[in-house]
Amino acid sequence: MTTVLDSRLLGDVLRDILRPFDLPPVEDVATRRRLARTLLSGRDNGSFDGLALAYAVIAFCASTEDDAARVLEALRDNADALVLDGVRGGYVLLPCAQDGQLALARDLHARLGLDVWMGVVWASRRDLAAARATAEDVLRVASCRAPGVYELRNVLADFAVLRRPHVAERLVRVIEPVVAQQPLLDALRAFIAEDGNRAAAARRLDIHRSTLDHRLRLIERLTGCRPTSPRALLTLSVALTAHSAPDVPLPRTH
Amino acid sequence: MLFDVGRLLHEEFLAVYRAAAADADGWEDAAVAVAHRVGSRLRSGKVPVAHVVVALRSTDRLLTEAMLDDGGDARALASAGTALAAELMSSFCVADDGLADAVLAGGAPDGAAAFYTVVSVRGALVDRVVNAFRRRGTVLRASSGHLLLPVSEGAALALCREVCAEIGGEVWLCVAERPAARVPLARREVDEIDALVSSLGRPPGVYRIDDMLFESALVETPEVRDELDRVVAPLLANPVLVETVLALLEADGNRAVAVRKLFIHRSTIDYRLWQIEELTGLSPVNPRDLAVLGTAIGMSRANAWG
Repeated sequence: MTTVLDSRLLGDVLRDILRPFDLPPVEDVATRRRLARTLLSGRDNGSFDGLALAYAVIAFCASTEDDAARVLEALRDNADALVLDGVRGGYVLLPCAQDGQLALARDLHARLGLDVWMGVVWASRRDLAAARATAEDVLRVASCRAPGVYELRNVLADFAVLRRPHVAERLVRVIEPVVAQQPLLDALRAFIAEDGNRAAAARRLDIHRSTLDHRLRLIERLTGCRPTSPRALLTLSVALTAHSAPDVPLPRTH
Repeated sequence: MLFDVGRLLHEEFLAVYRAAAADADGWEDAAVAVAHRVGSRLRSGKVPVAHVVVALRSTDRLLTEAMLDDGGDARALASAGTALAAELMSSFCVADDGLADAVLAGGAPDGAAAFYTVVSVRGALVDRVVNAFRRRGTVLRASSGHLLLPVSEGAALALCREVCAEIGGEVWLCVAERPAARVPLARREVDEIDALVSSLGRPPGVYRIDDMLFESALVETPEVRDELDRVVAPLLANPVLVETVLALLEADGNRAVAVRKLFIHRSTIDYRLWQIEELTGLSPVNPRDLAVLGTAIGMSRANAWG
């Protein structure tokens, strides 16, 4: 028996363990949507036989309704996927072994090739409600960044602050003087988006490098945080999230 | 408990007079520490102040004469006597100490100010810090070692920076302001800030919650703590990678600077950074990820989870 065959066999066994075998047919979209909502709201009392032991919970949103619709289309024939869809976003539940969630979400994202943001969390079946809340907050932070797949570890600081309103409140006070001046706000956003690369940030804004440096120094004077220090840049970036974390267009789960 | 006050003072102060007579370095600090220790002992033994004054006089006379006979420096001996006496008597100014403890415990007794800034002290003798504050205005000292300043946090920050500069060396002060009735919250806040500053290895200085905001949010959010643990676990097994993250962070993310600090080749650091990203899923080239990695390492090292 070759190694290739071995690993295929292992794959088959895993799929048998994880795969739902008793779900409503894929055509019955409404029933499957109801099931997804029940699972995500934590009202699953263990009475559904056909469910997997663990899932990747993917919260997604797109910049247009068409793009969101194409996410659903990509999953239409997947009998394993449970989807709770909204207008420009939704939740996808995919049976998943631990540590497999990132690859699964990236694979889906790569097949779409659209401006779609995804927040992905792995959870056992009984923890799906908490995982949904985490995925939603990850997506809220990620939606201010480049389109792609995000896990909690990619947005840890922002996520923590969204969960701690008293901290968020103080950070908002720190960043307010910067937000009040559009050129400074633009400079900070560009500097963060370019991962602290000054030359790239100046190009993005179409300003001279010394103009950017001057604005960064002003930001330091106003906030006490020096943007060229990684720690201070993280604080500034988190403060921006606290100041204007957008709501994402996700459907209600209860 | 009965004290032979004169004998106690003689025994405890002898070393200080000797050091002063010989004009040895550091006798001033020793005087402050000794006098405060003896003072609290006498106070807790409820020795009447009048007894202490009498004993202090005769001790000073005896020790000064003995040291002069041995050819000690008279001027230094005189200032040693004054320093010891002043510090010792300050222990008997109990009014503010009792008030500090009452305010810190959450009572707002008569005579309390409308609000206080609580200051925690680490790295220096509390007595020295108290004296430095006392020269600048009112300071209450609680038995827990916390100080209370009846001023706003902004004003306290400026005072603390002056005191840090005066004392020099490795001193960490953390401050938080609250109305008198909610001072216990301020105490909790300074203790939390101090624990974070200490566990993350931040440099000496004055800190308030604004300086440690997202770190405190990280510690307070259980799912984030768990995730930080998972992120950093594979890294901790490899000290070289940990050292690389910290060096890069100290160099503000500048690879050329970090390379010089680590005495390694540019291509070596690039390889290590690639390894770090493979292990943690975070890219040390991205300043925000780098800061998160540094925080995760600091917290795991000090096991700050408690």
